[in-house]
Amino acid sequence: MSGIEDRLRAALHEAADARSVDVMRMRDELNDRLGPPTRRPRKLAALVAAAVLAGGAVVGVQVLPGDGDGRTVAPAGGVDPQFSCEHTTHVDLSGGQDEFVPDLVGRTPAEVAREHDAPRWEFVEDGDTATLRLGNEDGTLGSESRYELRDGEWRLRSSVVCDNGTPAAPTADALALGLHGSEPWPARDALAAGESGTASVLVDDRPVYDYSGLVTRHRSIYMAPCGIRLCFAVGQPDSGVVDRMQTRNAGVLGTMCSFFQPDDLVGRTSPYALLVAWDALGRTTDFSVSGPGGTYRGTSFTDPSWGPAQAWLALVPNDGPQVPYVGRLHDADGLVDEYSGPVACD
Amino acid sequence: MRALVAADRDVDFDAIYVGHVARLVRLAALLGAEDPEDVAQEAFCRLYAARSRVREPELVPYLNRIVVNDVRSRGRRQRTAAGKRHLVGIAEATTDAHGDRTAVLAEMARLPQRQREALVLRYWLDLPYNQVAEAMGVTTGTAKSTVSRAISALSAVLAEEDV
Repeated sequence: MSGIEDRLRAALHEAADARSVDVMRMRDELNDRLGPPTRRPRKLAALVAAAVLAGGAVVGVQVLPGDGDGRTVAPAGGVDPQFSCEHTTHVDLSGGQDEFVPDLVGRTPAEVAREHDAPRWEFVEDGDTATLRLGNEDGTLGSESRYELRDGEWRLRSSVVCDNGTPAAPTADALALGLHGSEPWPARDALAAGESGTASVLVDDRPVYDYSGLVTRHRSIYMAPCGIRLCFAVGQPDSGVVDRMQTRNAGVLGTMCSFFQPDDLVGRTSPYALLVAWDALGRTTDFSVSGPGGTYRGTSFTDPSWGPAQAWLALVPNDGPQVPYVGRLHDADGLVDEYSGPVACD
Repeated sequence: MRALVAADRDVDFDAIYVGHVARLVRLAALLGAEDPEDVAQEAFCRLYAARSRVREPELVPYLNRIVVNDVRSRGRRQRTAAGKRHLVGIAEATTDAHGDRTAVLAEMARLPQRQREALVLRYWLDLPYNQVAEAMGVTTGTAKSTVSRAISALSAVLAEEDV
């Protein structure tokens, strides 16, 4: 190739990259131009619905220009060009997994984004290469996939996703039970753990990493007495009771590991384990668990429908079966029960 | 082979729009359109009208050709002198830090419209000659010779400036 061809190619790419295109605005204008039949296409409605379900603002789709070097600028409404998550990993595209394969053969970037419920996405072409970024509601980057144009189609070359090796997405004060930024799923239907007139109480709700690196889902945990057991329901409304622990008057019942079902059933281990204690008479005043990393205070849960009973839960790091912990349940008179051993999930 | 439209036509059309509109705006801009966004919108209006006839493998060539034709015809209507047409806001050829890009684009803007089309299709979209020809509505041989003449013209004038 001659020097003039190189110069011309570079100049054209720079000029093209310098032009910003607001795809959402243009689409709205086109819809106005075309009239009612194409107004609010179903694909857009699906994206909007996904964003609303996730508890956030309606966001849209933007294809943004590059800046010549880093390729992409991301104004409000776009996707950050850089990862802000602490850990990323290269996706195995050799066929060893099929949870996240964002290929564009026979489908569009929009269809890939919809498949993974990406609240935001952008597709940036640069000659015979292109980049698809899937973003969270807040614009943070969840995955970046690169493509090469061959035979008229974009061939997937590599993909990097946010991933810390567990289903647990980062959240502030991760070892605290409670809400972590999302509105919990309602305690009805499959997520209602209670039986025999006992109501379930919300234990926790926290974000989950999808295999796409996005944090578009969350898991709720509900708990309630169910006969002689304490039942836990985990997941989204299509989940149900996943663990039952036999109760006794007052004591430590054991470890509950089903924290991120169904994700922790398929190879992604929870980084946390939940040590559970029970007090049928409601006389205990404190539950704490000590381990190598310190002491973790338990939280008590009850409901008027439970009578005097209360449950105690302490979330601790999942350090494996070799690491000893000590859990102590106290009432006003002193130690009621003590557990010594691992608090581990595999 | 699947047509663009079936029962789910709005979904397909929307996905096609989002996937291609930015590229078409930039193509129109590089070809010298005064209002590249309007050119792209017009292309999609025409695609929408023809959606039952256009099949997926023909989609990109179809859109490229509409944009090329539209920019060409708008240029004729405006009777804009070729030597005064500028690309994407490029005012003058300069030799400063950004001078090479500016100079190349400015000189390309002074070429005849068909030569500019050939260069943009060949060197920005990286189309093979048969697809350059298809977008321009000419034969493959004509596309090759047009690119060749345009490169020669550009080389000559830029070589003069470099001296």
